[in-house]
Amino acid sequence: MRIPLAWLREYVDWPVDTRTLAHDLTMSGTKIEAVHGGAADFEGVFVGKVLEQGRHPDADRLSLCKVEVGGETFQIVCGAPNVRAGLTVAVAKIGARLPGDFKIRKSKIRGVVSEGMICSARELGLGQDSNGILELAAGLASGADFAVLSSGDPILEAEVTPNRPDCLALTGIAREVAALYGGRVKVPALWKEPAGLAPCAVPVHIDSAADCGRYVGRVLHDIRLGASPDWLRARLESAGLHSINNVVDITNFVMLESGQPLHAFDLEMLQGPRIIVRRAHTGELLRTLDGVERALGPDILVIADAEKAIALAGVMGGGATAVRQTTTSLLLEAAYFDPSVVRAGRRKLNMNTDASYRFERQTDFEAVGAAADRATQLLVEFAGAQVRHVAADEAPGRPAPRGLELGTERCNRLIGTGLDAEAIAGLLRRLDLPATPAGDRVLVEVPSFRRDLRAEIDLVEEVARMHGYENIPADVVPPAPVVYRDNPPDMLVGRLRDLAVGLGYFEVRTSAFMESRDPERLQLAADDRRRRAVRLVNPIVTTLDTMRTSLVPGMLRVLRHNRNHDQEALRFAQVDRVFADVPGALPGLPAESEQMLFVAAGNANPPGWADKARPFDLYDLKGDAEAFFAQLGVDTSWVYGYTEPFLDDAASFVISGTYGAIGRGGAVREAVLRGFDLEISAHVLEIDVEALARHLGGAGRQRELPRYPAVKRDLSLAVPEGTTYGAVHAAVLAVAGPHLESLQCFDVFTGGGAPGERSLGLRLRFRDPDQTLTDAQVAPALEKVVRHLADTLHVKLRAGS
Amino acid sequence: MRDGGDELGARIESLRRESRRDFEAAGDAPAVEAVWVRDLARKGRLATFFADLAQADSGLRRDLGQLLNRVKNELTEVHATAVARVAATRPPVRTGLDPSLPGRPRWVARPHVLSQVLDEMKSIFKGLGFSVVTGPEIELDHYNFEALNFPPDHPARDTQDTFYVNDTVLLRTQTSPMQVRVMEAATPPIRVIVPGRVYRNEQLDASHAAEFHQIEGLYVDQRVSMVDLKATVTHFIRQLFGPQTVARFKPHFFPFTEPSVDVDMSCFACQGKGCALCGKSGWIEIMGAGMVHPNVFAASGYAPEAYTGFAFGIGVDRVAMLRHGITDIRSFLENDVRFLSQF
Repeated sequence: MRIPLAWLREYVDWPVDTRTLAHDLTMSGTKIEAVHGGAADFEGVFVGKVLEQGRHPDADRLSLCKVEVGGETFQIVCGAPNVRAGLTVAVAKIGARLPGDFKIRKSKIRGVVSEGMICSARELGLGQDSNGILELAAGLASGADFAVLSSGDPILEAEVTPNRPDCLALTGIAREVAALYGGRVKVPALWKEPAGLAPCAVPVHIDSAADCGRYVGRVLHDIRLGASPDWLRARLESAGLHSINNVVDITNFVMLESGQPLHAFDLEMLQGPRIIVRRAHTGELLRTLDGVERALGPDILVIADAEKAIALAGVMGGGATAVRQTTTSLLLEAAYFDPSVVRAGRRKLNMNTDASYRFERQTDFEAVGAAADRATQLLVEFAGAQVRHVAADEAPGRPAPRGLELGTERCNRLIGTGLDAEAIAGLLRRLDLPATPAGDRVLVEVPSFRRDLRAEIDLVEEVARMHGYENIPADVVPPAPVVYRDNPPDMLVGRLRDLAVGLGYFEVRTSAFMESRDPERLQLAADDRRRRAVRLVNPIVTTLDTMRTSLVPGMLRVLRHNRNHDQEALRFAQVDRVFADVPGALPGLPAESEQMLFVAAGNANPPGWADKARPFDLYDLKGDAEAFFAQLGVDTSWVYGYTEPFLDDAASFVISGTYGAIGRGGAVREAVLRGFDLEISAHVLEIDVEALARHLGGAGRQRELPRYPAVKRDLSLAVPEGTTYGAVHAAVLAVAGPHLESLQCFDVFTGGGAPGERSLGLRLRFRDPDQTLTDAQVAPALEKVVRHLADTLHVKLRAGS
Repeated sequence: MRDGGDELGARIESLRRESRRDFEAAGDAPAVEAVWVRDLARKGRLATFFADLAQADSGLRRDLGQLLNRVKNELTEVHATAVARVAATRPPVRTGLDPSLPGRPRWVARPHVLSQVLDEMKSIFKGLGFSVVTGPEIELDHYNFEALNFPPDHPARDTQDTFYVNDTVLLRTQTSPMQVRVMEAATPPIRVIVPGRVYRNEQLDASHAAEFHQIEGLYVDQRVSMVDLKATVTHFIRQLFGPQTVARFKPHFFPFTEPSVDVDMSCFACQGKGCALCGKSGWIEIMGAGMVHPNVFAASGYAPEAYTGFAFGIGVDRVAMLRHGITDIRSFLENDVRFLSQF
């Protein structure tokens, strides 16, 4: 909302400078986002007259103008569509300085010398309009310093929150200013309908009082349509609106002044003539002022004449009944439309106008008549209008008066003050709210312009901001009667992240969306749960319309981004949410769960002079996974092979704990990687956080350290082709007896034996907690192991061991 | 005169003599290094004289400055001589070992900068007795809007462009729905924060993302007032941005709080004087807050007047951007290693 201070001063005075006013308004709840104007932010700009305007010899869109400034004539190239001979304009001469420290120099534009610039409002920081140059009043003297002429009219830019439609009017802002400094709002003298008029000429029928609470229709004759007077143009332009003609300008002026949108129909185009406020019929069409033909329906409120819809109520008028050059008589409309009906209609039609913006935030029911009268007065004065008929004023939906009570105790309890009823009433009265103290309560009659005040709490806020938020103390240390409680799942997320970072994986955060084709890219089966994704009905882009069901696609994209930027450390981890379109823990909502994903590619170690770089492989991934679970103290068992559609069956594993599967990992299939534009190999490890959490115990108990030494025995085994380490490992554990403490594989190599045969070096460590083991005690166990390996797996001791 | 020029001059001269003597007496590299650290390093004794210089009488400053520079040059030379002298006395050499070669490089990973900021914010509130709770990101319209006093089809909803799954299910636009879920499940006193991701259907640019993070705060009890709100928020801002930070509270509008508050903090880059970071205003908007609206209490199943409370919401991404001078919010989800490893 633009607040031109020169205009605002017609309704209220203030005793402070512009800066202070802006600050005080902000601190009392009318946030001033910017202050424009004031002292002009430019110099060297003068009033000039365009003498000649011709085509630039070398550019169709540019004009070549002769401009006279204080007796001198300059040749200036201008790109504005509205430049023409005879205009009075603002000319930045060579050496001028414009906002943003932009200096005007003599220059050649497309080969033609330009001795300055003809300025638009925007170039001078005087407004937003950059579509054309400023057209100044013809009476201004050529050569006058435009900085002097245009200074002194600062404009405040205010953010008006949805609860304060009254501040979408200058009189509303004036009320806030008056409240700050104890002044009074000056209301423009009201025009009164004279006695002895003919009866109402255009009857008004309202179908539903709920849709349209009030409708005032004023017939005006003998209209002389034309340009607006200078003051009116200046007012509208300072508020950021274009001047169109005197009739439209007056309706806009009254809207900005009072907050009440108005509309003028060409009376001769109305059938009947009569006005019906009703819902549109299904399939009914209306071409609106902007030339768009719109299909309407019963959820849209229209103004109709005897035959058809002629306007979208509260949104926009129709083209056929719009004011035009030939218009001589008007029906002026001022009405109160239901906020939600206007909003529903304009949303359905995807429209947003100054009028609908105000109606959907609720307008002042009692201001309807006053606004119509104010516009009538201005039309009589500035458009030659004649009033011959009594206006129609149908008001079937007048809201009941609203009285509120504010308890002083509650008010003080919320704000932290100690105000008595008299003081509270005083603060409220500054806002023009009729407030009466009554014992420990304050009674308030809510005026029609503040229907946002619905309940006691709304008055508390008014008291708080009039008292001043800055006057509420802040130096009291809050008491602590509430005991802090840990949130184990939330803390686990942090713990897992720290473990991953400790293992050398950067923590990343990726988008919660995935591309709708990602399940395809992961080669998921048709019935895979991760294909049951939650989809948005209104995504930003159609490819990102899906909530991720897996962290894998996002992580592969992180990999690709860093790979494309030549990064070498390609290890990433994250703990975050995935979603599935299946019923979740909360009623009515889809499932959400926490997943953890590690991804690694490229080198396993940074290359240096001492160690050659080596590609990250499955054993690196396993090592990280083993370390991860060891850190968490979770015992795991591993199954190899069949895992995930996007993992290589020959190079992947599933990790389980005592309560079931916890995670899975391995090398990503090449075809899947290609789908994500990755031409390097990559490994992933995925952990179901909730499954993992089930395996985490409380505080660990200390185990006594062994007091007797261990006995180590190494076995060098020849393992036939097709027998896995896992099988050997399991076979050893099966028969080694209770004293086997650990089993370590310290060597693997091929060659030297039968084709396909591998050699494994195993170290077995035996220990008895209660005594020192002797060789004689270990030997039988070792023999049993060797025999069992030979019998079941055809694994033999290698010669020499 | 604050400090006699003669006195300062004498102290400089005594430092010069002592330093020269010690450099010349040093027998090995560590001894030379020790004198250098004591006298010539960035926080050495000579540097403190340069600091004193600023306090000295302006008439003397020029002469003393010249003296200091002369001494500095002299001692730098003395140091270089000493280094060269002790280099002749070499440490023991072992064949095949060169301790001056660089070490085996390591890749060092980091937690994401948002996690770091989030953790710090959480720990400040934990210290004030706020427990951490989390909630669903896909949320019912009821909790995200209606129970928070956004009537259906109200213009207040226009301020939060929403992703919808269907008519009743959406991606939460704020962490505030957890206010209602927490109050439905517990009775006051309640003191919780809710960190989490939120979604807005916005045009994306350097300062707008479709996904970002908030921390919601809620404190409900019998007599919670705006004084508690101001004290808590002020404490938080000073913990996070330093004790000199000033918090400013302005009236604002949120449907689910009343009175509502917009909180600014004094710009930490210019101490409130006005700079590019704060748009020359001296203030930076940091969070929204307010007293819990009676309609929200009612929607949570409380008698609307039985309790009072305050709530607040802070943008975590925005705080991280402010603290670390991050200029593009999209960096957070891009995860470039060169970005991640800076924090």
